[in-house]
Amino acid sequence: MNDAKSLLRWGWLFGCWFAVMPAQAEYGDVILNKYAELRGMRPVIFPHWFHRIRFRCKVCHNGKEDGYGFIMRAGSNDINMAKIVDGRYCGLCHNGEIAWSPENCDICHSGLPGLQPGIQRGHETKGPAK
Amino acid sequence: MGRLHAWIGILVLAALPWLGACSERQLARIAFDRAPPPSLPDPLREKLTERKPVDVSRQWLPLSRDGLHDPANPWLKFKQQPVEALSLLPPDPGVGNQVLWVDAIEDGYINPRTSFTEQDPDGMLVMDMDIMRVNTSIMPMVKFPHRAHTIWLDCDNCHRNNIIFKPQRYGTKINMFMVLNGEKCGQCHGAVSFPVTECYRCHSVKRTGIIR
Repeated sequence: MNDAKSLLRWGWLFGCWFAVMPAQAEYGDVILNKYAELRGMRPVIFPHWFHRIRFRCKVCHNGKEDGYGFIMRAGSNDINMAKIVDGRYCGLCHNGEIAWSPENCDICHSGLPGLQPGIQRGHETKGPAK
Repeated sequence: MGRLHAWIGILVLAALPWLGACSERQLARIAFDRAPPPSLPDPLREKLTERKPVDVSRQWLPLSRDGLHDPANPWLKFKQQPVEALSLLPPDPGVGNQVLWVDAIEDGYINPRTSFTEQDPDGMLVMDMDIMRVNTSIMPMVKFPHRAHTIWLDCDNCHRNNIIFKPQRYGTKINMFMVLNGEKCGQCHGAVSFPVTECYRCHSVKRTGIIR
């Protein structure tokens, strides 16, 4: 009986805390919004955690030039849809073969309007994104 | 006759929600592979699915409440939630993604691809060599493990054109201002790998005597 009560109490506390938890991006999420909103689309949210379960860092950060790899600095990669459809940047995988193709716009362009581009929840970083 | 038609009508009506659910399931399949990564060996996959999905000591906000995603986006419900994947991985409560990413590979929880298309057995050049950095002022010395880094990264990521680290003894000047500015170690630590709030994870070796 006592156990059940304490469990209930903890459950309440836990639930309340969860309810008031402030909105917080997942560590390493990158917002891409250099062009998106200028051209009438929602910002793109790239979840690092999702991709690093499936690929090692070096797969995308492979040092290749010209959009066949990503520079390890938020804001350094000049990504637009033409390049993606052309098989560069996100299009390296999102081509309908390795991952779903870029015709499903809203899967990536899923951000709230007005988000500033950059990487989330890190400390201050230098570079073009800042 | 009329009664038969009525029955058929009822049956069709009853089947409608089920048909709807079917198409939704189809959509989910197209949108995302929700299962653990396909390269996982089978016994591990079983181990993962047996585990309890929610870990009390760690919490991840659902995507709809993370302040980035638009909750009205119809695709949101097909996306993998952080808790679905990250709660199955080795815990690191309160730090970054709350996952020990190196342990996740080393202990076989995940086996991320080493190339875009398939698992390449010689894909990673893992180097087991620690580097001691002794000029750390009042802080404990820094032991840099190459192994933990080379299971994720290629040599080129850091040593390319000597931009981040010159592969030479005393070849690279590093200080915490640089790291906090997102240079050197800070290029990843504080962005995707564990943040620089975890001082003693790098500054891990106590100075016991005079070191030349």
